[in-house]
Amino acid sequence: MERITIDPVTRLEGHGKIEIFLDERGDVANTYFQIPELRGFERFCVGRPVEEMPTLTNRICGVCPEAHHMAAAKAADAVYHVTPPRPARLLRELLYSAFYFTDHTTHFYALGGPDFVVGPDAPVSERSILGVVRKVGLEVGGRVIQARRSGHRVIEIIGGRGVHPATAVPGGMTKSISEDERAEIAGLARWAIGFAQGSLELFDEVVMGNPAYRELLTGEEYTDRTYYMGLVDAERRVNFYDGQVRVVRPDGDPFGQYDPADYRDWVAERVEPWTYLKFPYLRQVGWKGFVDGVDSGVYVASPLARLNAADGMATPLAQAEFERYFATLAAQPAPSGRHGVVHNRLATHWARLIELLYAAERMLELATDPEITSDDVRAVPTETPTEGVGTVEAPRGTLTHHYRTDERGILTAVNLIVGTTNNYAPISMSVRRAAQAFIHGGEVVTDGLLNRVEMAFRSYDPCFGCATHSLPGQMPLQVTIHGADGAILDVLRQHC
Amino acid sequence: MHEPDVGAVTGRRVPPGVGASFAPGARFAPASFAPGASRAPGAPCAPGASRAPGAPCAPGASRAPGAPGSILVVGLGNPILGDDAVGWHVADAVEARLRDGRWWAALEPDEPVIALDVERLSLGGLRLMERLIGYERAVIVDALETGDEPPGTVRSFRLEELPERGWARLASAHDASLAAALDLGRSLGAALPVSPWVVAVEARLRDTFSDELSPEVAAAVARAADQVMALVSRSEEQPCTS
Repeated sequence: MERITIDPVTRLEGHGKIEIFLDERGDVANTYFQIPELRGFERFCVGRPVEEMPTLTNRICGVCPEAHHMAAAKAADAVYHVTPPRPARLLRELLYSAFYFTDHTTHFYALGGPDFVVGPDAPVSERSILGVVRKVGLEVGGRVIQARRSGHRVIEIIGGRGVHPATAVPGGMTKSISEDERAEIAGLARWAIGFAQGSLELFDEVVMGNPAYRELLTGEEYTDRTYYMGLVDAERRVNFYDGQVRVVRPDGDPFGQYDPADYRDWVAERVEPWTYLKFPYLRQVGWKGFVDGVDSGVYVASPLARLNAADGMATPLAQAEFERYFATLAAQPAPSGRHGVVHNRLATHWARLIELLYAAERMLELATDPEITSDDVRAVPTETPTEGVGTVEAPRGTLTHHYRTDERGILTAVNLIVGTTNNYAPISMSVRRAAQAFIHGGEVVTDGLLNRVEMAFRSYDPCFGCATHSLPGQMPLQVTIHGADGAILDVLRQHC
Repeated sequence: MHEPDVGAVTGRRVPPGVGASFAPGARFAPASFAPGASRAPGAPCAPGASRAPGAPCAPGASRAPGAPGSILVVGLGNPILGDDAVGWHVADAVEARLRDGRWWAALEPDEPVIALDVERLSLGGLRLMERLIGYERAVIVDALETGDEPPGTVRSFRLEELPERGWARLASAHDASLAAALDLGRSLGAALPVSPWVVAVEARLRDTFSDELSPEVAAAVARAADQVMALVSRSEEQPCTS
């Protein structure tokens, strides 16, 4: 048996490793995606006051500190049995929408886009945001930077600082915003809507307008038929900040909907001997291994999943794109008559851009809400703290913080289910499927072929470290091919 | 723990006795690309302002990107991930030296005015590049794990001279390496430091949350801060090792 190791996976936060085992014929027998887990976070937190968690947990991750800040603040609200006043909830969602806008922009232009704009077979050195800018022009690069700056500016106005926000506390926010700040945010949001529309046009032109890419987006190489999960509002539309968790079946029909506090009745975790990280699955369906289908409890939580799980988008332009997306990629409705589901993982890039447009439109809605400048931003907790769950949709999947405290509010237990962890099993399956589709006996394993395997998991925008950690810096892609006797036949290295 | 974290602390060199040489708590907004942006970091003088040697800038002068002498010192790392926090500890030590007026007093009187900001960040790639905009020079302090040197070894490099591997954060795996991000920023017309210095502390990075440094790395903090101070004190630096 031969063995190919991709170590670590390029352009991933955290250091993962893919091992591909070949059979006697040189075809892919199996693959393993391993991630070292950061340890000791619960122990680090226990004994600290729960109100420290919104600023402490946003240190876990350098990529999505805003998501941890919000989930922690919501969990702390629940621990203190307090509901923030409406203006505080609006401010939190506004900050969070700006974060989504920034994060989704970065993913498309710096991570996902290069595979399409520059091409999957381009040299690794070209498959970067620099390559994208060279291809589509400096002006687009300038707009990407402007988009990031706009998002960071909104986060800074509401969150007190531009990177790791600090203003969400149990019961609300520590500060309101002025009319001048509101007007500035509204102006940035109007610009953001146009930017998102332009990004969707770029996707249409570069990806859907190219027959080869269109085939990848509709073919079987990147398709697994799993369950999907996402937060929805009262009208079952996508919501990033709040709502209930909805799950749909592989055929698109609803499977169930639950309050985030009940997550343990719905999600269980599978332990495998070859990795430290656990595999969440739907408890009521059960673990059947790394397989898709209605009998396997594997689910996805991602932009693709959120659109599958929801009945629509809460803003008009995003809703129109939502309808066009499903009409293009899932013409077959679900048995119940609701929209069909999109299983192709590369379609996640399109779904992400629809969410980008929603985030921009939602920013404007919130920035023009009459209550957004209200000073009523805090309900001071008065009840004895006990236990609470806070859930938001992180860009990479449903994020849950669960805290328990003593009567003084000192943490006694902490549990986190982070966005990407939800997707550990489906990413493993996608990697295997792509490897089996693209690597065949007798063919030379080229960088382009390996990149097609990487594209399978890059679509999920995985962030396994859930930390600012990203060893080693240059992210070399190392491919080790072992012969049947275990001897190393070849080692390929590349840097990006 | 180091909270609050990302607020910049600004030091401005002025002759002794003229006024406060250090403005704790000063904060700058994220840097901007736009020429003439009102919120650029660091530089205390307006472009073209007269800069008589040793003379202080006028209080309240508008800050412009790229003004001569503006320096950003960045402590990089995750403050709750063991030795990965060493950059933050070095930033603390650098600030302590800045608070001590002796460092300022030791500068040659005819040296250019220095505007020095110190930040602690948990960023890489594009976000780090965006924070460097407007500074003429930058010194970045980070943990490094090559395995080739004993923990606590301190080395300085130009960014382009970095060893290929072992960096905790200088290449954000999530968007772009800092070098690529700087190329992108420059191609878009941003004023960025020409060749940032990196002060690296060899560490043993464990994936375990802790707010304590290992003894070897803790012992290196003062030496790393010395290197940072030496780098910012010179108008044209030479590589140094210790």
